[in-house]
Amino acid sequence: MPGLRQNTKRLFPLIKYLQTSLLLTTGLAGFMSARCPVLNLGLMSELTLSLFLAISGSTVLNMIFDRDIDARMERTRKRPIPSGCVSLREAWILGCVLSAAGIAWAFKLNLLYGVIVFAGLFFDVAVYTIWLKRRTAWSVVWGGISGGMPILAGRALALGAIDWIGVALMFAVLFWIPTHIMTFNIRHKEDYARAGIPTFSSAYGDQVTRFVIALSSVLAAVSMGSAAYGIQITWGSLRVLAILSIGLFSLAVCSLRQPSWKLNFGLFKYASIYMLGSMLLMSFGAIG
Amino acid sequence: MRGFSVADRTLLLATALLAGYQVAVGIEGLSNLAVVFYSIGFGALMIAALMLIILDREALGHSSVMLLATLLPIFLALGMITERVARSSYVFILFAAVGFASLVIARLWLGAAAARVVLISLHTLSGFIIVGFPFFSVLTGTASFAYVFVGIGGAIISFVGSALAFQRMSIDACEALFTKRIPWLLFIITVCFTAGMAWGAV
Repeated sequence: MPGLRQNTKRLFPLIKYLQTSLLLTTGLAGFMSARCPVLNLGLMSELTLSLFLAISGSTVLNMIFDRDIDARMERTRKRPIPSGCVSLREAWILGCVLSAAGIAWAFKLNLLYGVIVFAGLFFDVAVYTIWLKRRTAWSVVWGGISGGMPILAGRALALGAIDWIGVALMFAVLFWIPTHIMTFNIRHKEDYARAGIPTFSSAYGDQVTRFVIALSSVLAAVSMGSAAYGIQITWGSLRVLAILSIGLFSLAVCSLRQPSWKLNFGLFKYASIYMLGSMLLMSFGAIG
Repeated sequence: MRGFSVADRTLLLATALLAGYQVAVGIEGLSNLAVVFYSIGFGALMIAALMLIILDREALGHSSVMLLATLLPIFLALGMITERVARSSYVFILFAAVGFASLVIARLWLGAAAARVVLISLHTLSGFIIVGFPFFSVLTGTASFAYVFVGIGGAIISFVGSALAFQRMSIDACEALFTKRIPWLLFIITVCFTAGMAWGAV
């Protein structure tokens, strides 16, 4: 048993559990926005596990393809593969097994759900990581699309179809991604430049990037608000969502007007709180 | 300067959640205008607590927190007046609108000193309302005793507002006293308002 515990401790960082948890939360919120979790506990458990496996699998595969970049960046050089803590073979096995299991389970549950989960993994690993990440700063859009797939998948599984609310939720995540990623790009600009990764910050400058962040936070808030209205969450929950959205936009504008390292970091953190809060409101906001 | 402890952050999170609860549930059933005013007031409290969790004590020196500290008493006072004395609420709404317009004009064309005078006037009147009005309502029997909590919360808001202003003027003793206790103060303000509004209505 100590061997199993040690291996789990060694391999666990490969799945970037915070990022995976946030994406999983969006998937669960998509499901709960259409179906009661208590009455559909079995289906929701299967959604949780299949989505967890697929997201974790794609994250491990990303780590494999990005290992040379990770080794060059100060922030990521201690990750399991570049640090030598996990061998490439182990990572391949883990990534393929998790991805295959997640996608197979997703297809078994529902064809449409399976297609969306597969599309998410394909966009993330093949389009974003392998093809575009090293070529263009606009790769973030494709990263955003793959990030929006879990919430669309969750809602599609609950309804058996794709509706406009699911698409609006997907766009909310898609527009939220720049706020999250680009603030990070600004913060670690030199690191990304050292690794040769084009970012908005290096291609168009920090001020343009901050403007894009402010604009995308407005679009994220509008998409989230439209979806919330469609889901018919209570007026009270809608008010809380509006305040959270105004907070996001205000911080983005402050960061544009008075740029500082601390404020940029604050916006990055607030974006995560905003997403978590919004997902809780989408999940439980209709109760009342 | 040391950052907030885990206990401080827990209090700030509780403050944000409680303020969020007030926005979502605590002000249901009031008139539309009162709901809008209270939403902005409690919303400012919620965002301020979240910003303090994220940016730590450095947030206290940021202009956006100063803006939130301005919005908080004014909009809570507006909500209170609209909720309790609907007929004369438009007088205060007009006063607040003129106050905000004067603040913008003073800020843009007349300089920081003039803006500070307008801000202090707005703060003083809002402070007077959020402290005095609940006690007056209880004494005249238009609210039950629990509404006193709202007045206590209002008094602490006035204290926090003054302390923030002194901190901007770099008065060290005030800064030391104030920044250490800000999570507690915000939490007590929110609890007082939540309790007072829940149990204080007649």
